Amino acid sequence: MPIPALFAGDQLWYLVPLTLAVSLSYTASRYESREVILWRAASFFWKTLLFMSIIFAVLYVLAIGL
Amino acid sequence: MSSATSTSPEQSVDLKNRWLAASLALLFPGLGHLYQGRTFKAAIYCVCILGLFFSGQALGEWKVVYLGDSEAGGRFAAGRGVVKRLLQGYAAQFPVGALAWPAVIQSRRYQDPSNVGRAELDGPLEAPFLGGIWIDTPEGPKALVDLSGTVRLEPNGANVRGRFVGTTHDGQPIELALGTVTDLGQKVSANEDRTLEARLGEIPRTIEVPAGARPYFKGAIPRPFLDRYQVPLGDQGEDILTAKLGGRLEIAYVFTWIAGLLNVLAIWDALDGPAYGYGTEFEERKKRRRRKDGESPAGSPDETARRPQPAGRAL
Repeated sequence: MPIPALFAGDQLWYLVPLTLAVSLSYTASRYESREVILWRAASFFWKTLLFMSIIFAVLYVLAIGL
Repeated sequence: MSSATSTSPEQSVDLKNRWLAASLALLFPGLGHLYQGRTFKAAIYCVCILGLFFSGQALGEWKVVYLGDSEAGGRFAAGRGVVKRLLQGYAAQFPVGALAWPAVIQSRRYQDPSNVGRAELDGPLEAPFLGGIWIDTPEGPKALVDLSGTVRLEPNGANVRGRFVGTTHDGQPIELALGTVTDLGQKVSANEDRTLEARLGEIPRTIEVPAGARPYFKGAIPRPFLDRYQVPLGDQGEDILTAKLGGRLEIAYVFTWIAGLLNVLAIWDALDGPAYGYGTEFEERKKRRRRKDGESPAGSPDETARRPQPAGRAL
């Protein structure tokens, strides 16, 4: 299955708002400074998406030919 | 209770009455922080947690927040099986606050012994109706004509009688006197439709009824939102919703669960302040050290080696 087709289904896109909400709320519970919260939440958000993308890519490669 | 501050040495956070703040945070996401004057965090918690909670419910067609299921019906009231029912997901949804708590009341209403399909009414009822005139055949029930319109029902002694006014599927106006109502679905249920079945008196001659067949009136009236919101789905309802929504249903549950779990963090923050401190401690410590030492430039190997780890490095 081509990768764009995997994203055509709506389900993977739900990860984006979910990750955003989790990273903001989690970081807000760790720090008080507005700048620190925003900076660290952004970092948390991208790292999480990157991590999930890597897992996705690994699973996608492993699933080729199945 | 006395006011409290977080323990950060550099910048303290005035938590005011921390237990009141935690209670408010439990009641409504962000309300505790608003009380403490931490409006930025209040906005984050309110938007993120309620955003997840409501979008999860919308994804699940407003049926994914409930306590227990029909299989365990009555156990909660009897004081058994509570853990099992909580572990079905409501334990994670509960901390969202007052917006998730009607599920407890709805669960009790749903499992009340009087909440069964029956042919009784507490008072007059008028509602839109969608259904038809049916007959039973050897092959099964068969619709003679589809109907849409308004049905009016009222108690008549031990029975229920009523009247239907509307149109047939081809737009012809029709009015029917309903005989005894033989089935009226549960008052409280997660399903949008409440079934209605009644005997028919006379039916218009324009509708052809096979000889010997006994036509009856059958369809559904909409169930009011307050009688279906946060009501247990039941095994059958869950199967139907799973078949309809597929994987989207799982995402809907996950959204509402995570919303509740995030509010636990928010409650703790309102009670005890930010877990890692204000967030600017490292910079302030560095400035102080520079002022005090006045020599080694920032970033030199020596300073890097003894640099304290900023709180929250675990992120």
